[in-house]
Amino acid sequence: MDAVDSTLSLMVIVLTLVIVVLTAQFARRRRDLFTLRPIPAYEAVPDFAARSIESSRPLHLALGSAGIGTETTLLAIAAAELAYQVTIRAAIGDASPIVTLTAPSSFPLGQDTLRRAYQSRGLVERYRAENVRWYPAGSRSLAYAAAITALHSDDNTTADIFAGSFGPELALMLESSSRRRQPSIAVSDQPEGQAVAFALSEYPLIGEEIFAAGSYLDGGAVQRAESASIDVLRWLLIAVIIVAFIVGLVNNGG
Amino acid sequence: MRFRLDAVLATAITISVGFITLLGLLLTDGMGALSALAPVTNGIAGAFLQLVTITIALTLLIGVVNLLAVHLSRIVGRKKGAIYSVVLVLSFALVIGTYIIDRSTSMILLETVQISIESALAGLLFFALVFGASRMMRRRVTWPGVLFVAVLLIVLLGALPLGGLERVADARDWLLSVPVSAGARGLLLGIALATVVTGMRVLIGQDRSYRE
Repeated sequence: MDAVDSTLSLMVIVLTLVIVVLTAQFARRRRDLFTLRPIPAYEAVPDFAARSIESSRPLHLALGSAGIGTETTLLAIAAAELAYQVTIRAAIGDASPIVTLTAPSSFPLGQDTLRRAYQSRGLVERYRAENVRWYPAGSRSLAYAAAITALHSDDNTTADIFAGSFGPELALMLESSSRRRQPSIAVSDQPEGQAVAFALSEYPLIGEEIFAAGSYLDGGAVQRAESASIDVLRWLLIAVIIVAFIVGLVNNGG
Repeated sequence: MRFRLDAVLATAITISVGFITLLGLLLTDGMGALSALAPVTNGIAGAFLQLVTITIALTLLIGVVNLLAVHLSRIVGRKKGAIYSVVLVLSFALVIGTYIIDRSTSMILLETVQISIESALAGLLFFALVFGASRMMRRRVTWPGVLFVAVLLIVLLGALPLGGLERVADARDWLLSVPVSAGARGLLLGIALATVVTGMRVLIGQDRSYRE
């Protein structure tokens, strides 16, 4: 990385830091400052938990290949937040949610997420470490897809949440889910996986919506501020793109 | 406000390690006064990243132990599908055994069994996608749904090596290079923005895991 790239990166990081801190302060002072548009997938989460509790069948939460120490580290953290929110809702049921993943580095994150969710409900004795399961991915994650189709049947799951990094192999998992008439939420950071999620999932999330799980399901001021920060940065980026387009147009015209 | 000592300690360690690593990765020559810090922060960041690599290697071992523990408990508990767990444990033992005795046999097993099975599954993806598209139209006919199926049909027809479909092939090429490419970039930009914000929240200790 040369000096120009480094300076630009530092500027973006400082700008993001300022926006995150400012929006968090505003959100703390005025809780109703940021309103969130409805996202059907997050509205369905309580229903998913209710299904699991009523049927005593586990929910399945999949992180795919999102892993700590790779470029998907923060996606794994965002997916873990969604898993946490789902688990605290389903924790009072007999069947503990099952978390599956292919990145071994996410394994401690998955276990910690489940444990914290049970702990926050005061039910830590119900936490089962073996409900976080690692499946070796193989060359194209198809082995993982095959394992998940088997898990649907063996563990008699009630609903699926695929939130993480998935490629087109997500189609096989969602197809199995659909065959068993299980509702599903799906999102991926890979365009191929996202397209499959949109087409096959009952409640798709699009792109960065996965990072808003805390904002929608926790409802705390700081969590809401995270979504607001992303929106502020998005508008800034749009402004930069428009300005760059106009400058390019003027330069070409001149 | 009450603070838990372990949470404060974890947050302090995360913030300091995170910022030092970040500076170590970003600082370089030609950045004025900050360049003087570069050799120190680069060295520390390098050491931290090596620690991460070692930790990830360890988690792989933990993953293998977890996999075996889950499947052995299924076998012992004679749960539904335990026969597949038996196959998995035997395959594991076979691969480890052949790897110790003769590495090339282990690679042959991998190539002939796993890759061919994965290729067969990859072949099924096409049918799963087409079936999914049809089911989406059956479930709810919406404009995005109609658009999705129309684009899918154009892309599939455009890929056929038949005469008389040149216009469809042109439409396919335009779709892939303009709207699909733009949409994918928009999606990736959105994810990148959210990633930066989430990363910043983790760095300044606002993530939930520090509070509990």
